[in-house]
Amino acid sequence: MTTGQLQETSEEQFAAHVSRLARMGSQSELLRLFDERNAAYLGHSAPAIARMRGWLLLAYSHETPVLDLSDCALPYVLEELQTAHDAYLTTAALICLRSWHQPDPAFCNALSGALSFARGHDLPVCTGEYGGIGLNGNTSPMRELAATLHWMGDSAAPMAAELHDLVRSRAATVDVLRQIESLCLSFKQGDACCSRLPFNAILGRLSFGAARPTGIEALDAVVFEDQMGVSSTCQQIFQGHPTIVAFFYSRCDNPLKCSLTIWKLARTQGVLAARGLASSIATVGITYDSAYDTPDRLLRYGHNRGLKMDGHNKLIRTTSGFAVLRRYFDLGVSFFESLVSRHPIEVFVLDRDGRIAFSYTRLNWSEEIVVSDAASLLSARQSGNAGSLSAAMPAPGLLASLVPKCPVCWAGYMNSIGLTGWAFATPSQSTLLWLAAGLLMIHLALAFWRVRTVGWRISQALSLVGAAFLAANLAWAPKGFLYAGIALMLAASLTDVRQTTSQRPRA
Amino acid sequence: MKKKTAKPAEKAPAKKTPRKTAATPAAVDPTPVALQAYAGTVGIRDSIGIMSDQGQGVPARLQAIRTVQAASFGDPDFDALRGDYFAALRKLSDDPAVDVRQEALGILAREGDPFAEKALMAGLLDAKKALVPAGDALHYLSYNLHAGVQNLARSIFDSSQDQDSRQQALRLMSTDPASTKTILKTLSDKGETPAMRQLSAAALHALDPKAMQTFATKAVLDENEHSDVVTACLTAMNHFGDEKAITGNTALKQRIESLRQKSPAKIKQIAKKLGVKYGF
Repeated sequence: MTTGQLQETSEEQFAAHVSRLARMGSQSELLRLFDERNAAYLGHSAPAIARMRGWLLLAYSHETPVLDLSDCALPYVLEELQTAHDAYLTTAALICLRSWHQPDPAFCNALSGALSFARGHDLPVCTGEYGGIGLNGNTSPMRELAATLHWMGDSAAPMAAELHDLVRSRAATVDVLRQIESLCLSFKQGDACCSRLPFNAILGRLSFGAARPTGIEALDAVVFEDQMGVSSTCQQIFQGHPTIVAFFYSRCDNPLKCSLTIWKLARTQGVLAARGLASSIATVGITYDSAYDTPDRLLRYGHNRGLKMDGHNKLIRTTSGFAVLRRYFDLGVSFFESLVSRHPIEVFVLDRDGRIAFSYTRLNWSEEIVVSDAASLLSARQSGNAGSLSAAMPAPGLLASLVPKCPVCWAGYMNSIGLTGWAFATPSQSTLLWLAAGLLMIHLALAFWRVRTVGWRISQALSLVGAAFLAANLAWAPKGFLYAGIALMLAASLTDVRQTTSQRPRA
Repeated sequence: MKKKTAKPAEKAPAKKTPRKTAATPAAVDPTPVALQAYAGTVGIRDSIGIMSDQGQGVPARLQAIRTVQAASFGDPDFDALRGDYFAALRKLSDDPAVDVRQEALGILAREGDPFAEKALMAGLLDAKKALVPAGDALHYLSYNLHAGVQNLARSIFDSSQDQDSRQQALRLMSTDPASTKTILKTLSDKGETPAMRQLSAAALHALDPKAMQTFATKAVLDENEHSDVVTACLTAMNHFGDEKAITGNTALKQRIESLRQKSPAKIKQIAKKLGVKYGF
């Protein structure tokens, strides 16, 4: 067993294999094991898979102490935290997250999920033993969460309200509460800066899949049955309009996965109605658990979650051909006997020909984005446009990340594209001079505002001296003042970024 | 069947009584009120100490477990000691006192504790490692649908001679579509006990309601069928029956009519309800 693709194997063999790969430093082989579709997970129950993945996460974090943020393992780690459901797995994911090269405010969403879980499930975990099962646990989800929050430092500021609530309600051990309380006190207002924007994480959050060449004909062998017991073919359900498809099963015991997915599908219907698209875009939930989720159960499950069900919007199960459906959507679901043992969040947008145009897997999805994507298919002249559309989808995210969001950003933008450029204006260009002076005033106001929030730093001093040089240049244009001012402002920006990042503790 | 669930202790009195030292067995008053007065972090910690102390009497230890368990529902100080409590319960899973062991394992299993689940599974696979009887182990494992015990339950159901274990296994099988055939076979087998067949009826309804209705029609028409099974079938028809199928079946209508006239009281009562519901 030298590759990440294991055949059916026992837990002991898996653990030994992972440890061996970790010792060898085979990061890529370890990464392959993160995929739920790996044969190593075949025939294992949900608790067994939790033990296996927890061991894998710990091995990965131990072996590779510094990973790049864009590393393929990040979505898996964040997924375990966002949909936390097992004490050992959550603990392992928290330890693994601290292996990243630097904290990121984007992790707060996932850490909130871990916090909600840990509050009621702070069980002892023994990280030294496979599965974390031991009589003397050396840690717990809450302890690792406190350590991770400490590592996050100011990047955890978006979680301040939740953390204050945790401290107020005394929902942890005294040492954990003290650690979190001291962290809350250290949060500095306005420190969340776009220098640490979750750029890669935003892109990694949703996996945008290009339209697949496989047509809906591949699903011809599949027979569906809806919540009313009416049988239909794939053409009847998916053809002629874009469809938002979400996978779930009613016996899922993780409220942050299937139950939430169907709630979100119901909210998606609301968004569609608000945009006047309810009649042109269909919503369909497909169960993984066809044998158990009878029409009656589907009806009740959808109804209890506010899902509108009619001829256009439905919850369905396959009465034959689930394997074909699984291949078509490349589903990450695994089974233990007749029960689902593991699955990621899986949502898709199909075009009017039933081809997959967009996919949103693993991490929680946004109803607004999904509706926008589905709406874009309506305007596409040809179904073949879906591929180019999906390829262009990261563009809005890239543009959004460039929008300035804090005083430091504004100052940076002014430095780089505005003030320093207009500062070259000659006395004859009076309009440009006034513009440069105005920008300089705004820069000074923002710099003083920053001093009030974070106190005096060398970067602020450099910035003010630089501004003074530029002001002098605008008034009298003495030789060399322009370049000195620009250099000082550049130095101020770099110093500020350096100070901000160096304050964060490393794992 | 013996009930294994821990009763939540009664509400603690508003006024705290002076804390008693738990150092010596003689100093402990095992009465519920005295233990429940141990509120707050110190009280919970003392109760954890008592439940782990084998020198204490079993009633006192059981009461201590129930006191902490009650605190887990609403005592704001509990979260600070949750880890200690679960660590102590795990240690009690092989306690010499069977009642303490069962109480601890029951609580851990309800919380889906992987330590308890692994220990219970090990006991089902190897009787020498069993901490509690197989029926109890299956009962505890049934709290977690995803514990992966369905296959084992089928095998125990097929091979065990112990009716309690078989009943627990059957309850577990009612969540497993792969067991539908076995359940239908058990339901049809007149050699099985009526209790087992009633359980099978409930399990079949959960897995395949249409198959249950088909069987129910057959069983009601069978004059040699056991009255308990007929009762279960009539109840299923009354609550979940397909009106068209029932009203369109003349033989069934006649049979229900005759049951309304002449049958044990329970059957007569349900047959009457059916007559009212379906208009015959």
